[in-house]
Amino acid sequence: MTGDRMLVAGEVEPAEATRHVQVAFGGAPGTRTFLRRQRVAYPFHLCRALYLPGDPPEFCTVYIQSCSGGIFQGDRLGMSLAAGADACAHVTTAASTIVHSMESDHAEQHVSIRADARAIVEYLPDPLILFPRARLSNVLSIVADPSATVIACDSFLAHDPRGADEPFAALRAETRLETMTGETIALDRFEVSGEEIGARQVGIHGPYTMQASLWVVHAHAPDEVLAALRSVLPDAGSVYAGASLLPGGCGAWMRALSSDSVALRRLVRDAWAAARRVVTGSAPGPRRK
Amino acid sequence: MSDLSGAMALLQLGDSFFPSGAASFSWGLETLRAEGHLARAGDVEAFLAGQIRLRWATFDRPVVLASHRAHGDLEVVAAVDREADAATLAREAREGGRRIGAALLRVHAGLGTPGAASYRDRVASGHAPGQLAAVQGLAGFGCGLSESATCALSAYGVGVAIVSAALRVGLLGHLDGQRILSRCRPLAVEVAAGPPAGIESLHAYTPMAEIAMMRHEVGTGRLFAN
Repeated sequence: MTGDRMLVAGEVEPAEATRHVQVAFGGAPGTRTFLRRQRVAYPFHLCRALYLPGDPPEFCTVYIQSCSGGIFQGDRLGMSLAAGADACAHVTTAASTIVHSMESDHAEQHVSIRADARAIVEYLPDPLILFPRARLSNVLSIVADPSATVIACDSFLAHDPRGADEPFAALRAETRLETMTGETIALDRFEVSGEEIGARQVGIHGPYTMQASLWVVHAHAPDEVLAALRSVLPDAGSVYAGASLLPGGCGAWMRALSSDSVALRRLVRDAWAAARRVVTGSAPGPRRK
Repeated sequence: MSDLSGAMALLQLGDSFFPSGAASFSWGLETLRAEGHLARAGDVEAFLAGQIRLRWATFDRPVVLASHRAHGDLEVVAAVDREADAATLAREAREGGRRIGAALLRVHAGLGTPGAASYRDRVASGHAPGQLAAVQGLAGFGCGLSESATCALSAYGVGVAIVSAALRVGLLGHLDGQRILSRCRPLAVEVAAGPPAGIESLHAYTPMAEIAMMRHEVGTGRLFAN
């Protein structure tokens, strides 16, 4: 990792005060999921709970917005999303998140998701846009009951607003899935620089400049989830994608590379919709962005 | 172990004649070749260099070393092994690592390498996954190899697996293969110069190869196990 050292996962345990967003969803079978508790601090804003047409009536959709214009040098952002038993929540952002240029230091973002028995949590933020010299540690921790479902995505692309193709400095990303007792089931951790992506090396990024992943934790029917994800993967074209079973039969995941942000976004949306069909029996309704 | 004895042990364990089963894995190369992403010897060299820099150096090597440094404590080896297994998310990579690890354990158990038979029992009873890198560290220590020699075996194994897969799918000839292995040697030495990542910060970034292995699960090319 270039520049100053980024913290490893075990060290990124945001204190209560740095959890800028703390949201707890409550629910019961056959009833609307509700915001049981919320605590939101700058730079975030939480929109009111929405119940969108096309979603099962239990499903609560919440948008998280940032008032600051993105992630800046020195930011230490924490977000905690907890769904109680039988709660069904969809959390997303209103737009992509710009990770701004940094002259020193780095930024950190830690999102933790907890899904209790039979809960469904979807966390589908728009992509991170990494500006030149941006340096970010982005951690997603998922703790799920074996009967719960979590669908989460992460994606990034590099962009130089001056058009000079100056690369971002570093992205360190970690997605960790744990049982309620703290046992790690699946872990994805990588560190990459914009320079590395620009090298277009076969086996790493090849000709592609963007990456996206979708995680579907659904131990009830991992093979069905995998088949659903595979049903939307393109065989050829501007996206190179694959899907596979997660360790321990806890679900399935998809990873995709592309240089076409529209096509990549469409694939993530289609994969999410296919997974949702397996989980609830119907595709999600459209979301406005 | 004397220099000569150590060198002979290394030759024996690293020889393709040693029945490890590693030659049946391509680590994504078969699919990348079939889909037109690899077309010539230079591509194979670039592919191997990427695997060495962005996977072996930051993931396999730390696992090998942590397992070797367990000094035969099988609980520690199993903890390292489980972390490596959980962090290998493409199914054919995970299962491939387990299969080669199991084959290696079987051979070492048969040879009486200290720790191998007991660890094989753990794997058989489901208490450890038996990932290749963890088994390499355990077996290297059991055979009396140094940390450095055990890492060399591991890096060489990655090189030979990829080069031999490339040979079999017609991407290069034997001489090209040896040139690539020679040129990747200083790279492995360079990336192994620093202290290894701790087990708590294992990381790898080879998404294109990972996706290729995922696509291989349903692909038509099945010469290799991944």
